[in-house]
Amino acid sequence: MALSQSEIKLIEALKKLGGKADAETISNKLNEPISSIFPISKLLEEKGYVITKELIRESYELTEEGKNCLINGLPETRIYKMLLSSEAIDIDYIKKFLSEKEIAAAIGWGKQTGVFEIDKKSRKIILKKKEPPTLDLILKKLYEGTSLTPDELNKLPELEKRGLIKKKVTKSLFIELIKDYTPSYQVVKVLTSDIIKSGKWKEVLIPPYDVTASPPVIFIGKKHPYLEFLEEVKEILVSMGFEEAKGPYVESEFWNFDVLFQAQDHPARTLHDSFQVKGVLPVIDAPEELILNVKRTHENGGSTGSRGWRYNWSREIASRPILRSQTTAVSVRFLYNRKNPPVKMFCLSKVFRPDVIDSKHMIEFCQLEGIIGDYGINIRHLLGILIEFANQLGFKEIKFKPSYFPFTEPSIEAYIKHPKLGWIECLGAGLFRPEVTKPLGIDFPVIAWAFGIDRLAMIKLGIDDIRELHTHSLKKLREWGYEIAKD
Amino acid sequence: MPKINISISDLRKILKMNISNEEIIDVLPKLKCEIEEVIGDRITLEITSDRADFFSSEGIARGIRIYYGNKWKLKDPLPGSIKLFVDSSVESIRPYIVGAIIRNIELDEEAIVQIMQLQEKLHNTYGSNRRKASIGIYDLDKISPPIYYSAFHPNDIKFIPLGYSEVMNGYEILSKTTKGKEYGWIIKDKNKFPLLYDSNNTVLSMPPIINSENTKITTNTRNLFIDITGTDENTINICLNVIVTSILERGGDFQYVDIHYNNRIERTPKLNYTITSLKLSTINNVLGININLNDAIFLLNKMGHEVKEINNNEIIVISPPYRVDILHEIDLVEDIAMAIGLDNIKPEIPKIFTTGKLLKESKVRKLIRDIMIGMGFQEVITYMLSSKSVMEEKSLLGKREFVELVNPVSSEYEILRDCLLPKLLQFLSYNIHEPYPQKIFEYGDVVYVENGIAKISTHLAAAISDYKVSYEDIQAIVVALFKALSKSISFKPYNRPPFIEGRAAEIILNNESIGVVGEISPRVLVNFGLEFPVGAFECNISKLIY
Repeated sequence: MALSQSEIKLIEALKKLGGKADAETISNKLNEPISSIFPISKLLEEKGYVITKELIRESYELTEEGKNCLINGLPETRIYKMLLSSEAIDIDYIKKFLSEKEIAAAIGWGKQTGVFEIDKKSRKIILKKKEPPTLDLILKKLYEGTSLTPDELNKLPELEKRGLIKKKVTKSLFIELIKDYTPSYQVVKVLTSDIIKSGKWKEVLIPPYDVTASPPVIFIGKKHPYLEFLEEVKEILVSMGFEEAKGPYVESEFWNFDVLFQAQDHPARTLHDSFQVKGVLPVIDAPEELILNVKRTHENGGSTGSRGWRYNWSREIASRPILRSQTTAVSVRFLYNRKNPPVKMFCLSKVFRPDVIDSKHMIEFCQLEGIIGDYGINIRHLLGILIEFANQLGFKEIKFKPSYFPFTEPSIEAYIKHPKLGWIECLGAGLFRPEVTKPLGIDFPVIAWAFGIDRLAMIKLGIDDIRELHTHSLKKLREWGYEIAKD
Repeated sequence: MPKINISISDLRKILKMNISNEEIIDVLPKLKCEIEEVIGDRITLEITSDRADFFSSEGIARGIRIYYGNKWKLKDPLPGSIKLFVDSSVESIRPYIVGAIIRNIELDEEAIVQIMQLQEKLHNTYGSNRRKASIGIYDLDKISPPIYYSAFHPNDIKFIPLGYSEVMNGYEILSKTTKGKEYGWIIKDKNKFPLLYDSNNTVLSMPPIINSENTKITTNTRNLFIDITGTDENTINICLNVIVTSILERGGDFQYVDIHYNNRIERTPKLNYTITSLKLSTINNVLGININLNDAIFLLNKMGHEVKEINNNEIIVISPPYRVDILHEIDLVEDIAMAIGLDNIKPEIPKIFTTGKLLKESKVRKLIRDIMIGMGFQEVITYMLSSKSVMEEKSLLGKREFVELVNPVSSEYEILRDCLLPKLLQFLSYNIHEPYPQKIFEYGDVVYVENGIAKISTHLAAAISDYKVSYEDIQAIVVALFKALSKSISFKPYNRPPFIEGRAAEIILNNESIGVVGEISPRVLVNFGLEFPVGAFECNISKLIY
């Protein structure tokens, strides 16, 4: 019959203790509570490995009074010590140190042993022979648990009578090994398929582990938290009925600036504010008709009803290849290709602008662009959709201020309120100027906005350096925990 | 957006009306002047770059006065004019000039500060940092007209620049003076520099760099000569309109300057009004409101516009000469929106039904990222901007064509990446002290050049780094990935960097190579400072989509 781990441990302990021991000793040896030794040994007895015997043991222990006497000395001892210096002592003097009861006990002892007695006339205690009392030593031995001589044992009933000690009965279990367990049990560290299939598992011993110790660390596969945030934003926009769009990173100035009615000498078009590129041929990726419409719009307003910027528009500048500096380039390309309203589009993608790189500025960052175009669309709709979008992102308060952008009029900038950081400027918006839409062949109004989504990502992810969005610390990515939304 | 600093007491001096400081603070944002900071008497404002008329306290005072119902009127010019002769030598250098005279004006120190500020903000915005337009203001009483504008060899130019005490020539001015260092780039490549001087050969300025010390304005100056030179005649006229109308807010009168070109004479300042036809329906359609003609006229007047006539529901609007930002009727609609106040325009959710959708590639992106996560890979992202050192040298991929920046801000970001693997190796190099195994992947766009055209592809790259990594370890990932995508692929030996020869393969799908997989060569590892082997793959996901 198989034995459990704890049964084997108990047998091993018994073997080390010479084949027999009481439960208390085994408990100390195994460092297990005595209460657990009882049931295990009973089980082992049933299985025929041990026999157990209940032991009742009598012993004495000191009463409170006994303990006092151990410290101060028995009354007879104290009186005896006084008598050693002056052979007779006035009883009234003794009363200063001992109680009536103690004096009575002492005198009883003195009389019995003939060591001292009381002289009733003079009321003095007189020493008769020099023989020190011995009961103190018995108390001491009982307290320390050392063994007593037969003489001393005889005196115990007297001490009990005097109320200095009392009898104590303890039960214990005595266990004796009568049969060793079969040592043929194999110890296996790892349970394997072979052991299960062969049925060997019935005979093997699987030793215990420290199951509370820390396991080796594993690193799970995780999505990047910044991209997860961007996905969440996309989901919101799709749920609001927006269609995703994309466009080239390397863009002609034509689509990035000219179509957006930014004059060719606008400061944003200098090397200071946009990245010009080489290795790519300068071309205007647009039909001639559109190019001419844009040219006329810049020069004199063309058919847009505008005065235009009044300068000579250069095809060469318009064809310069640059890295897209605003996702609005994607919006106007989308509008040009999709002339039929309603149009609801978003683009969440990279833009590039030269800057001094620091915790707030990176030269490559994400922008979120959105447009709605249809007959009857107006500024109130722009305010409405921006409030709704901010709400969806978890910002309950938003405020608007007039602003200026070359391609929108009226232009608005919006601030969202963060519970800790206060008002944060986060987006620019407006109605596309007729100088933008008309040359594209769009005759319905289009509202547009661009969100600085990286700033928002930083707030959501709790980081204060924009470069951390592209962290190259694997440690940080591994430690980045998900949070389960509370609402 | 330009930030300007004004003094409330100076503003009140120009305002000459009964208005409390609180009312001033309250009205400024309604005029599109955003208050940044108020410290004692001084206010810092953020002005939108189109509103040149608000670049100094004079124009702001005018805006407030009109908002409270006062009319603005252009003063009549003083009789007579002074002459300015333009020599043809400036034609190829800085061809255009305009000028104006202001007489009988008193300028205190704050007035000079404000005029300088206006000048500086115009330079930065409309003037394209002085290249397109640069302004000079002089004490007219220190000048003997007529005035001449001509170009000279820099060695022949000699005068004491403003703020200095020694005579310098043209080159010295560019190399020694602060303004010369700042703006010298505009003219330094020309063989002649433009110069403005009078009939006594007293130099007024060397545009667009610096004025002369001898003609500078002080608090004792009573009469001013203003010039603006530049490359665009329309722009310099616009700037002059703003400057002249602003200074006149402090008092004084203006007088014309006749600019004598070889073949024409231009009388400046033009101070021309802008006439725009505005349909009532445009206002109501754009703002989603319903106002009538009278409301519209009231709001236009509040923002300083006058009405010339009304044809049916069309208002012919006259805007004053300092409103140089009115290009289209839509600009007047914005003024009306401001006069109403954005807070009074009620937001409304558009009631358009559309179906939202993601791009197909966004869906594929989600799918593939999920598969990689399922295989235990940590997603990382790196910048698209990259360095040649990583893309060409360390990776041993060698020289090739990239989209390269003309004006990089750092050599770390000088080209657009055309693949992801070197970026992943670079990523691993930052993490050599992190526990291994390290399993990472990136999914993102790359840009490569083909026949002079920049093309975008979406790539997936992944790397495993550990004490030991075999070809099989990474190949198994590739096989599992394509199995999950229900694509059957095969492998073909590939003996090129960054892999070990004989330990890499091309990934073939439908007889076309769509990527590579293999063990990274120890030379490449050492180049990146990596001490653990790396197995990696990269494939072009665009080829799966299209």
